[in-house]
Amino acid sequence: MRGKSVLARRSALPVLGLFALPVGWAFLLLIVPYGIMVAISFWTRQFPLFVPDFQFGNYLQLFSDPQYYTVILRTAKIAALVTLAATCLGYPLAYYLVFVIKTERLRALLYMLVIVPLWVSYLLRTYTWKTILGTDGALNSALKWLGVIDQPISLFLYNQWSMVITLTYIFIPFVVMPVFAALENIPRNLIEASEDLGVRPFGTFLRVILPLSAGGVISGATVTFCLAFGDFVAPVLVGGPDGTMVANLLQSQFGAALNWPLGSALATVVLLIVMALLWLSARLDRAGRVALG
Amino acid sequence: MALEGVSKSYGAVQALGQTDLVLNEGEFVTLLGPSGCGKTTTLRMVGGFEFPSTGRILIDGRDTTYAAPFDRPVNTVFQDYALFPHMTVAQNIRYGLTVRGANLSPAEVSSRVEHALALVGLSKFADRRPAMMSGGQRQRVAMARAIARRPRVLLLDEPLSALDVKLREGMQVELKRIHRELGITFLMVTHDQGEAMALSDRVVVMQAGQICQTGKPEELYDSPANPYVADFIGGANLVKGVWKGRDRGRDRLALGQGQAEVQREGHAVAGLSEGAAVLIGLRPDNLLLGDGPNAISGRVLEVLFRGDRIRIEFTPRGIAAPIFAEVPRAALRDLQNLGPGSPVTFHIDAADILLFADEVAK
Repeated sequence: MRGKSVLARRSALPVLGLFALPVGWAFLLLIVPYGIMVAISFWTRQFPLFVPDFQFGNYLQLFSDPQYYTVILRTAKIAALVTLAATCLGYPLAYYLVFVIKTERLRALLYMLVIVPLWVSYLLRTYTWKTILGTDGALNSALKWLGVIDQPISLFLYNQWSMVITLTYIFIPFVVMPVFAALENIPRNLIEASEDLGVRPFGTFLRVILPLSAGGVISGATVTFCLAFGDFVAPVLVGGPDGTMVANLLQSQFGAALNWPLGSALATVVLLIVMALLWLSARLDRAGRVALG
Repeated sequence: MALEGVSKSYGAVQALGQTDLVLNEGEFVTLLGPSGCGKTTTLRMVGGFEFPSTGRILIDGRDTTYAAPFDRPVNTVFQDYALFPHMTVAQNIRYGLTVRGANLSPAEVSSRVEHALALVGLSKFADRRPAMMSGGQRQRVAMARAIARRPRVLLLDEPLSALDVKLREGMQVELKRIHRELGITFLMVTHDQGEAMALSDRVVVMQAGQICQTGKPEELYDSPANPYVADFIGGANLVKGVWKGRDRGRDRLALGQGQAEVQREGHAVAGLSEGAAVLIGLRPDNLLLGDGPNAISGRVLEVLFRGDRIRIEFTPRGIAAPIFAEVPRAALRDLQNLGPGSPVTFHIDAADILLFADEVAK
């Protein structure tokens, strides 16, 4: 016991030295700003000044004024829809890449094609959907050419659906990547064993492949939800008047509305929601890992 | 179960040449050979994981050549067990019993799981996860899972190769007992000749996609069909020599350049004429220390301690390649100073000499 503690003490110093820089960095640039943000969320606004205070009025306002809580709920709804859609589209794609494509080269090529859009500016990719869904856009032109409609429809753009479509497109790679890795890690002989034991391919998928790739689905869905929840570009470009999301509201509190205390409170709520989600995801993932041993 | 003219090619590479094999009800048959000899390919084709390029596979008289794995009455014990990591031991075993085709009542499923666990001695481990078990225990779970389905043929792919030596010997006894208690046909693949001989009713020795010889373990040991089998089963020194004729059931053989001559007792080897090149097989165990009939003398190269036995490597006079002999430790008691360079003489019983026509020299 004693020898062990001596050893621990001796090794503690260089370890501390090694981590001092990153820990200091994280403290200064992450923890301190968050602390300031949380502190300001309790302040009061006396236009045009912010007065240090400790009161919960800002939080009360967020949860009592529909102007604010509807936006939070709408953001959660859109993020959930995007997560669902990206998972439902991304999983089959990853499955196809891993199990259906036979040659390694073709698989690598197609996987690259999934990743390549991430190299293109996010703004540009969002903007692209504007030109697809707009009144003079590709979709309307195609439908007109086909004779399905004779006047361009403005229904496609500037609503919540156009945001869900755009964000789903943008976040699919974030689902494909972890699911692809999870599926590739499943030993092939487990699938053979399942068939050997009389279970058909669909049963094998439900009882072996799906449970063993759940970890990839959880991490992909978590990343997608968190990123979609905090998105502020899609609402501006394709969202329209009823597409405002939390991030836009935040922006205006720190800008035009000039209400930092309320903005800080909102940011704190968003932070808590995302942290709760990450905690839940880690719990689920750990439960899965324990099950796998 | 029968293979009729089965072969398998991958592109231009032939993994298995035309092969016929019949397994009798309740028999324990082993495919034995080095890696790449086609034994695993054969097993995978019986299991339905690969399809033959030619020929038919019959199980119980039914043609199952192209049937899917889930559609044939065989089960496999995989080399690295392939246990489902997200299920307990009991769930692993139950997995194959609750499928549509099995038609088992819940009570029957439970009793089969219990029975299979009892058979491999793991009744207390039903709720464990595979990750929490040792290699030997996982091996037993894999066995239990496969036999719970009561297959017509149980396929075992190198079942003991992942276990350490001590455990492997224990599992051999277990495997033999399970085979006897179940009475179903076992088809095993291994590269370990000791394992094959200890367990099997019949061994199929394979090399480069061909069957070399099929027979009971004793038959393969006592009368190997060719030098390859002689060396693979039990090990043998293969010495080039010359056949100098045969009378009264004995072959006269000159070893090497004729510095030593031995007499062999046994069935005549077909197609030999006087002066023909032959390969003479001398098993290390059959070489006895000291002078006698069929003596071979030479100088010691190396002496290797093997516990109860001593392995002596020596170069006989007039023979290029060194010869290995294994003698009991007791036989060395009078020869304390035996070491590299010492003169040494061995002799061998005429009935223990193996003789093959030298195909390469022809």
